[in-house]
Amino acid sequence: MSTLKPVLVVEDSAEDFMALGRAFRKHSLQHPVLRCEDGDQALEYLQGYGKRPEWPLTLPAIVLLDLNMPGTDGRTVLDTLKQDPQLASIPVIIFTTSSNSKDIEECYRLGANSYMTKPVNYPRLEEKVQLIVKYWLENTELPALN
Amino acid sequence: MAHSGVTLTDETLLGQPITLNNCDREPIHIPGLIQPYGFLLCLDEQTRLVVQASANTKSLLGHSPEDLLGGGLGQLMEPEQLLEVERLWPTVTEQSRLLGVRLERVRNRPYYKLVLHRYDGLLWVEGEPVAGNTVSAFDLPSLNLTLGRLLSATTTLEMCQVAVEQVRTLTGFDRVAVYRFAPDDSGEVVAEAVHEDLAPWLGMHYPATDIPKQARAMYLKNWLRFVADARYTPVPLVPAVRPGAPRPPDMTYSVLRSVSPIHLQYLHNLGSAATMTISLIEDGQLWGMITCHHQTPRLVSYELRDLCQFLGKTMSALLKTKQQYDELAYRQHITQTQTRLFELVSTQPNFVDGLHRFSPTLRDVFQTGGVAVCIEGEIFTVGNTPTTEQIAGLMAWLDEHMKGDEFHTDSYSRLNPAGLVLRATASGLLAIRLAEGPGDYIIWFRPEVIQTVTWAGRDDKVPAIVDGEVFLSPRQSFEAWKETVENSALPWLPMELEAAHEIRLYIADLRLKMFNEAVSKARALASLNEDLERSNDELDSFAYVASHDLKEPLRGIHNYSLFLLEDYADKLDEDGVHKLQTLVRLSQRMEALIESLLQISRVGRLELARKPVDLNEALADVLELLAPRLEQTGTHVRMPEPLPTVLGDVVRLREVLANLLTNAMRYNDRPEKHVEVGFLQPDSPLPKIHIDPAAYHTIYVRDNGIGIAPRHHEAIFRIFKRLHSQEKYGGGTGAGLAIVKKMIEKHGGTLWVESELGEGATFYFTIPKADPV
Repeated sequence: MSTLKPVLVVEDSAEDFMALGRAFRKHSLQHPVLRCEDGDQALEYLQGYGKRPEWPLTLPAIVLLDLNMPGTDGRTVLDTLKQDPQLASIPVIIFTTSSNSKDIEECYRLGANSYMTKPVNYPRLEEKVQLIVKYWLENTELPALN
Repeated sequence: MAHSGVTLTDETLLGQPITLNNCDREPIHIPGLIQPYGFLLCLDEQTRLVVQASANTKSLLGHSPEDLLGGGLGQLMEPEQLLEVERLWPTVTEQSRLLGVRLERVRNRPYYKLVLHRYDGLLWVEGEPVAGNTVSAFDLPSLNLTLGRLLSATTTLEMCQVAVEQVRTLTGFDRVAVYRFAPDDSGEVVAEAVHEDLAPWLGMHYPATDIPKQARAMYLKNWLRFVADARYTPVPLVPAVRPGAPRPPDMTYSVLRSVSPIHLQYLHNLGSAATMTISLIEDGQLWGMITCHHQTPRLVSYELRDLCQFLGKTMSALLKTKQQYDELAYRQHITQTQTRLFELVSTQPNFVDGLHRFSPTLRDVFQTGGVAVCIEGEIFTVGNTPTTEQIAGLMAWLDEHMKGDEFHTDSYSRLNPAGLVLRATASGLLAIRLAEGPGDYIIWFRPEVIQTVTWAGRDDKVPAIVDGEVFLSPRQSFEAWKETVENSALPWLPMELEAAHEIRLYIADLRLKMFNEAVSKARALASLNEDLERSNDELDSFAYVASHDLKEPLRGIHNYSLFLLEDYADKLDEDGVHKLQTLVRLSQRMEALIESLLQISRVGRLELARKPVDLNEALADVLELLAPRLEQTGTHVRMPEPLPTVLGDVVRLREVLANLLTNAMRYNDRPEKHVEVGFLQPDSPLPKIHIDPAAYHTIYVRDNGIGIAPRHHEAIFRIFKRLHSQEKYGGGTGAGLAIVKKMIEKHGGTLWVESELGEGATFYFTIPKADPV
């Protein structure tokens, strides 16, 4: 069992998650990848970690958060996260289809650490994933949580 | 027949010279004088003996008056004739009776018509010589015909015309006219039969003073006056006042009564040597007269005069009916004209046009000189009216003084001295108010009466004072009379006021209806706009959401195709690989389309951050951004002069410029590619699109590229409408110009193109000025 903290991907689309996973693998991500299919699940995990046996005992190193999801959407998850003193310091990278300037502005206002749009072009997706891995997981000093 | 109980004359004036100053009190009923063509004997009622005789009995009968006084009629006739007269006396009243008698006791035994009546305590015996025109027997068929024509006349004027023609035929007078009195007692010649050599009087007006009041009063009692020779010397009675009487006898019913010297003077002035006047009386009021004139003395027989009097009375009896016809006809004219006017008004898009532009107009509804329609600050006139400025002044006066919604006067200048200058067109006013507040009116105008009618004698020389003595002439009275009617118009009839009232109500209804229609139209339009806005919003959000949601499965298709290629390329043949590659390419193109759709829907939802934008700076930013591609395509951008500053959203304006510049370099296959960015000077010819050059700048982007055929000029602005295949000119999505157009329109501007195929293209757009003039 790796001691590395997981990367949390909050993504309702199985295909997108699959493409993301493929890109992670291609760039030899060492961290375990954890997927929540919607906002409710993500909040349940983040707010309830350690309290439930079925959830991982650690908080994620980073969160890749989709915005438009059924049920509780990404904005609510982001807002809740950044309002929670215990969770606020986890870097949240918004990874979404929307390139709407309003969405971008709102997410940064709510405390998003980065905002990236999902390209249709797969090679570009790979590039972006590589950047995320390199920047957030290999070069950035992350806060010690737990 | 009504008797006037009023004594208008002043008997104390008896024997005094009559002048224009006292002529309306002249005691014309007791002149003590007769006309000389006949003789008069006044008999005591009781004794039937002569108490007064005219001074001419000597010459006519061979007996001096003195000889006749105290004797009976037996001095003139044989006993059997006398018996006939005596038999008549008990039944005789003031209405005269005629008796033709040969005066056997008189030398030459002349034949005389004796006219007998009883009045003022006397038995009156007047002798008239026999005239050549004596009607021996009633011509019943011709009388029947005349009465038939009088009855069947459909208007008063037609009846008057029948009467004058008949009277002239019967009597042979040179001139027979009907003279009608107006409410102010002035008179007008309304019908005339005249000898062809004489000037007509038809339409002439005469001042009221031409006929003194006491004469009018007497005309009500005595239906016919006759002067056989206007140049006569009156013959006095002997004695002038009979013993025991306070004054000369009352000659009201006498046929020989001498008329006023003023009247004789009047007749001289008219060139009339003989006259006959028949009263026309309606409801005890003097309505008018049939007046006859002859240039030479003319004795009309008593019988003929009686027949004329009969016609006069018949006509009098018919006056009411005929005037009811007239009134009915006028009323019908008003109603019919009004109906046609209303029809016209209701079919005009602008009801005001219907009131004044076509026939019939408001002026034609009743008799007026002109009419003004003053509505919403505009004044339209028809006919004779004051000037627009004068009408504006009049409206100001009405605003202040008009109480209620309707107003009329027949003398505006009497109410407002400032109205004096308008009297030629607007002595009379009839105004209706069209709106609650001041401002909107319809005003009918009537000219001053004096301007309207032909005043007889107006151009005559006013008789001068000769040797200190005023020549008696009614013409002198004209000026005095004129003063009393000056500045007045014909009065408004009740039915005209009613018609004006109806017109006001009609217009008020019409305006209310139009107002309600306008309100409901505005409401409908507002709700339509709301619907449109909502559906536009919905469409925008739909495009936004749809394109967003489309991207996700598209990404899946794209990614999985790639994964297949990556993972299984070695297991597929070349054809399989090519197909997967096509799938990847198509998914990418689809993404571009979706992205465009998203953009255009965003433009719709966009809220502009308007600020003054220096287009030079904006263009510089864009050129910097496009620098690599400009260099790559070898495109040269030039600016003939600095661009203006406009009011807009700088980010959007940059997008507009970038898009137009990108197109300019993309659709260009020349080795030397040029793009010019400039703006139209205010004095340059305006493009065919309507623009307010004070508020907008017109910017253009001109290239020397492939150009666009005019038939495509509209199409290129439609979203996803492409003119070229995907493979040519770098393959756009076809959304760029649609987005640009929408952005410009969002700014309140317009975008259009001028181009010919192969001649390059110029894209123009208008954009609000930062500092509109």
